[in-house]
Amino acid sequence: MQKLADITVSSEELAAAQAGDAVARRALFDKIASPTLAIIRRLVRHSATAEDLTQDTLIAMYEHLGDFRGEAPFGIWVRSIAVSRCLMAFRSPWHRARVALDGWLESGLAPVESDARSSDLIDLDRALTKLSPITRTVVWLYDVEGWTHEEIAKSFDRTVSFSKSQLARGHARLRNDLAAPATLAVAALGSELDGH
Amino acid sequence: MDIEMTQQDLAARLKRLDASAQPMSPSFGYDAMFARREQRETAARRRTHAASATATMLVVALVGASIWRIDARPDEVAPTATVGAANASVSNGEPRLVRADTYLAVAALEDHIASVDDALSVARAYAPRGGEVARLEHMRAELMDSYAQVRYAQMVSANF
Repeated sequence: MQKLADITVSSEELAAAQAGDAVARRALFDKIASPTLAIIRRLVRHSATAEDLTQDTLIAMYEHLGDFRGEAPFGIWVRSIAVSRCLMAFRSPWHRARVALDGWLESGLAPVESDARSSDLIDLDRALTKLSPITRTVVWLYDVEGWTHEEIAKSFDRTVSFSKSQLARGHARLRNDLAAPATLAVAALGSELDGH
Repeated sequence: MDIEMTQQDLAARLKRLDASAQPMSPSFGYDAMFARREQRETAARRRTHAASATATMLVVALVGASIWRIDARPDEVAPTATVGAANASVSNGEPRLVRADTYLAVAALEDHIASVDDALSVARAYAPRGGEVARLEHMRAELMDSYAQVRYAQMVSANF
């Protein structure tokens, strides 16, 4: 699937959509909706919330289409709207309550479905799900989307140290979670050998 | 699997995970998106009205309970024999109706969420890509919102 940041729109398509041409606006939706959902789903995990945020992002995109000046690729502009919508959702007390309740009920936070059948990627996806939404977002934006600490700090309205510490914390948690099964296996093998 | 993993390894794995993701589409199309927004705004307005009505009822109930407690003060109860009983009722003078109502609302919401979870499990098993799953997930999200609101109202009334 094409990444949201890689999506570009020709100036003709854009001009038609900005002028309110229904066909162009629909074509824009077809091009941008799935990659937008994909990145939001990576950050938010809760599928119903991710759909709601995708809708908010796309509607905001249509409402501000006239403000897009083409200084950055179109996909990057939409991605910045999507990330800011996700961060707004994370700040909402209802979202925080829901995350707490979801953790308590141990449901609603399914790992994102993946074609990958290799166990290391499945483990990594599970480990990502266990991170807090903020930490997961920082890790994803830095490692996968290629954001700098300055860009992350600006979008979170925090300092660069915040971004660095969240990233370090996220990496440590991921390493821990990914190392745990191997450590257990080594320990089990050791005790088995001791038994013989 | 490596026990020690460098930051570069981790970043490379995350990128592989991203590249391996299945294409996913929202459950709504272009036209449905605007209709869905309209529905959500209507539901949000309805929820706001319900929340303000609940808050008003809670305030009225709390004020009523306070007036009742003032009226039932033991020094205003004339017969000595009934002072003990009056004290017992006053010392336990919680706004009982309010608490019973929130407990019932919480229990009802928990039951409803559990039944939606059951339906969701069935829907996921038989039609994981169907619209029914999305509809149930959306319903569950709304119920969780209501649940959080009732819990918050409970907390506020407990600290009033």
